[in-house]
Amino acid sequence: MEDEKIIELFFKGLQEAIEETKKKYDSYCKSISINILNNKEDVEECVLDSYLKLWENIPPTRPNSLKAYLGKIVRNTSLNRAKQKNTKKYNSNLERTLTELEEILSDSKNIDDSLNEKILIDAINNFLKEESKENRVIFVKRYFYLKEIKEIAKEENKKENSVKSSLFRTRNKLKIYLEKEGINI
Amino acid sequence: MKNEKFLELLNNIDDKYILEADRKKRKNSKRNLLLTIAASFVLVFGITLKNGTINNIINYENNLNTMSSPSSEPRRILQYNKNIYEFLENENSVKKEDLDKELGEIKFDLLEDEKNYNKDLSATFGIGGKIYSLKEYNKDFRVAVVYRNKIYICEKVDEIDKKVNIEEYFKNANLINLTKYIEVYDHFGMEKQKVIELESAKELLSSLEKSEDIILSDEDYEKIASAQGNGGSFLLKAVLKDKTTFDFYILPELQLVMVGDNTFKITDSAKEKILNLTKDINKKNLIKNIAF
Repeated sequence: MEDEKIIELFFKGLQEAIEETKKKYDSYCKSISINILNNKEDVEECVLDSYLKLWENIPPTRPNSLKAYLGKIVRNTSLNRAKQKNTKKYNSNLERTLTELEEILSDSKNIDDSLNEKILIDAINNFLKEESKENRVIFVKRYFYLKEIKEIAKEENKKENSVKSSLFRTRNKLKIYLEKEGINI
Repeated sequence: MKNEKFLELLNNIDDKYILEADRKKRKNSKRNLLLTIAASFVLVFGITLKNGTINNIINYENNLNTMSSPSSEPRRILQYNKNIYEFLENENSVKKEDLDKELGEIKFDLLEDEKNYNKDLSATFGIGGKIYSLKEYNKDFRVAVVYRNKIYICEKVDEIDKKVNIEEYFKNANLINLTKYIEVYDHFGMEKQKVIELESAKELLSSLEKSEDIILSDEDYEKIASAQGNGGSFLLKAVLKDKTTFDFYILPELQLVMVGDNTFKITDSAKEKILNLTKDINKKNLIKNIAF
């Protein structure tokens, strides 16, 4: 079923909306959650919670992309669960991802805690817009979808080292870009 | 900011990048896919090679249709200066005196070895041919290949590393100045439906320049395939001063324009213009041409 029709089902308050969403996006949701939680039971619960959140949010929200919107809910729910359970201790992929992201963060002690998150995310989106598609896809696969480097390499027909180099360069460029924009994170 | 907070914040990455990154690259990359199509001699819809490519690729990739028919030859493409060009069918429409500087020789056969996919000066046709710039064209729009005493025009359809910028493309092509008029055909180029005269053609091209990048979802591809089969897609041939044509597709209702191998979202005003320009075309004429 097309997304627009599924969204209409949500707006009509029909339970079929969840069933259709599940039918269409269940494996997508689980693939996001498993990269963060690394535990099947947690993944099942998080994905179910995500459907409920979707039900609560639509309406009034009418997402431009149901898939991306749901993906964000699943990712957020899974990250919260990971935090509660201190998952990074037993999910080495999550731990490595966090370590990689540290490279982008400023060493400075003058960090602006009041930084408007919207400004930061707008800057990141602008940065991604300027990046080559290849680098952008690899970056998003790693830091949004939290995919393993090995998996990204396979999906992109690249050597693991190429993926690592691409991520390294993109992280450095993002750091420099944010500094130039006067954003100190 | 803590790295955990930063990771959470990345939840707000633009939807289009999230969708873009969700697509698994097929075993073959886009170019490889294109070559696979070329090598397999399959051309979905069995339409003319020139600039039917995006539709063929889209439909091939998504297995959306069952109207495949064999074609007589592979798609002829050239990679030069990080651009991907397609050989146009009208060889010898340029003369020797139209050629400008020699740019290089086609050295690598894209059909022969996978390793050649990343190489400049590679092609699926005309290996050993010489690439020339053309006096009348920017080489980022068209170049010529001289091969076995014939001169071929090659038109840019894509870039190797990034998506084509439509405004830049139109400017490089000098389309607004070179276009004399535009012929409108059904999607399959079977029957001319009408002619858009100079002023309206220029206005339309100017408004198309402002089209935006779009990342298509699988559903969009389905809608495109459906529009192509239901008279919702037009092939437009901009007839240039040298009588060659620049071909592109417009799907007014879906608000899309396909230039080379790239698809863009047209503005509301461009949509209105093209709807207005095509309102007198009988949709039945467009649909009947599909039954072949």
